[in-house]
Amino acid sequence: MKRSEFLENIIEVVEIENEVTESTVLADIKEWDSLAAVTTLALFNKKLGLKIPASELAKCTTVADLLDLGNSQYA
Amino acid sequence: MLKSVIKNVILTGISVVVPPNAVSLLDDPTLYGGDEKQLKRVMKSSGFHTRRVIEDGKTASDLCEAAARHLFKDMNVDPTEIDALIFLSQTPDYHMPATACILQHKLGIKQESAAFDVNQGCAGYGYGLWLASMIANSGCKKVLLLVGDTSTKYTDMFKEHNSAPVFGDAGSATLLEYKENADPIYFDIGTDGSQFEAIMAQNGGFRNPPKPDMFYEDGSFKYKAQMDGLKVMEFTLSRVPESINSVLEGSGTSKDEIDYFVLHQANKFILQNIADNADIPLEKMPMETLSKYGNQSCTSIPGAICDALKDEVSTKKLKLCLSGFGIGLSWVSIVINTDKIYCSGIREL
Repeated sequence: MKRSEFLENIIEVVEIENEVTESTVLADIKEWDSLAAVTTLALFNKKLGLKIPASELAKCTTVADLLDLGNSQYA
Repeated sequence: MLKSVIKNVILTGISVVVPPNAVSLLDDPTLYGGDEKQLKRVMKSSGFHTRRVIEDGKTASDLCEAAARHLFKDMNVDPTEIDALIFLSQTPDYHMPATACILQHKLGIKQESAAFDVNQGCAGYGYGLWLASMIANSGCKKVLLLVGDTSTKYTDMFKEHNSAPVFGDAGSATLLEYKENADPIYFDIGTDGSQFEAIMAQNGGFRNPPKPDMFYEDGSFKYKAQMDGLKVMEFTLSRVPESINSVLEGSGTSKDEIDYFVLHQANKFILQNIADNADIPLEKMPMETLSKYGNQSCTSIPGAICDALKDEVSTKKLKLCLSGFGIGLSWVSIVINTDKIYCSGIREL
């Protein structure tokens, strides 16, 4: 899976309405809450086969930081 | 993980009782600051809709007592036949004595019996079955396991976190009996106390005893109950599929041989992800009970059996895989055979 496809997956599953780019700050996304974080954790597991620790996810500030967690698995 | 096999014991009956008061998440206009769209998004993903909330003055032991009475009456069991009673809950009647002692007397169980409490949560039903089975195998003929919680009493779990209340109250009674050459029951048990803070109620015990500043204006107590959803999710995704696979392997059982995987009804999202990770077909995993009754804590496994599998367990011989996980953090997975057991369905108090 490509990095951009994975981002599309997150946008779809978390149901993010406004436009999101890699530089978007997570805290500025209206829908970004603990449920969204949990959903994303599950997506890393399901789509990329990665078990990301919650502590790593919590360190992310921007969408790019988030996507970087999957760097080892993108096509 | 700890592996344990218990022989010569059969599970013969389960009953579950809930309070009559059904509350829908849609009934509360204050959730998510009135943002209905956000609430519906959460409801869709988590599967929560309606839950049962007990009235003031009633407790988990009242629900369990009623469940035990149904079980005694419908199975034609005389309470004096019970040799041991376990009450498992995180919402006992008192700090002391053990609620099990009060229930022994109320239910008419003989004085020549053992009665004690166990403090466990979402992995609790598995713990209860483990303890009750060992006791039954030690020479006791009939062991009554009462598992129930009124988690809605921990009102501040959701009060200060801008999230929706998901817990529902319920009580259950399960009967285990000694039977020579019964099929073994297999257990896989684990604990990670390094994460004890992931789900906890901090106030009101002896580390943080009640003080005047621990009360809300409406007079209710600030238990400081909280849950770190992200940590719990991470734990669930890694530990539970492992534990399920481990108990299947330990019992020499393939996934195809299991008729149903009955898991703690944490939320729909978690159940779907466990099914994905452990490669379990969704049709073998009941997950609708939580939308009708809420997350029933330690009672959610008997709750799902009574709600979704009543006809199946009552009329067929089944091989079940049960798995509970949560506060502790603790987890217990089980492979157990049942043979046309008594099942009350879910009844109201």
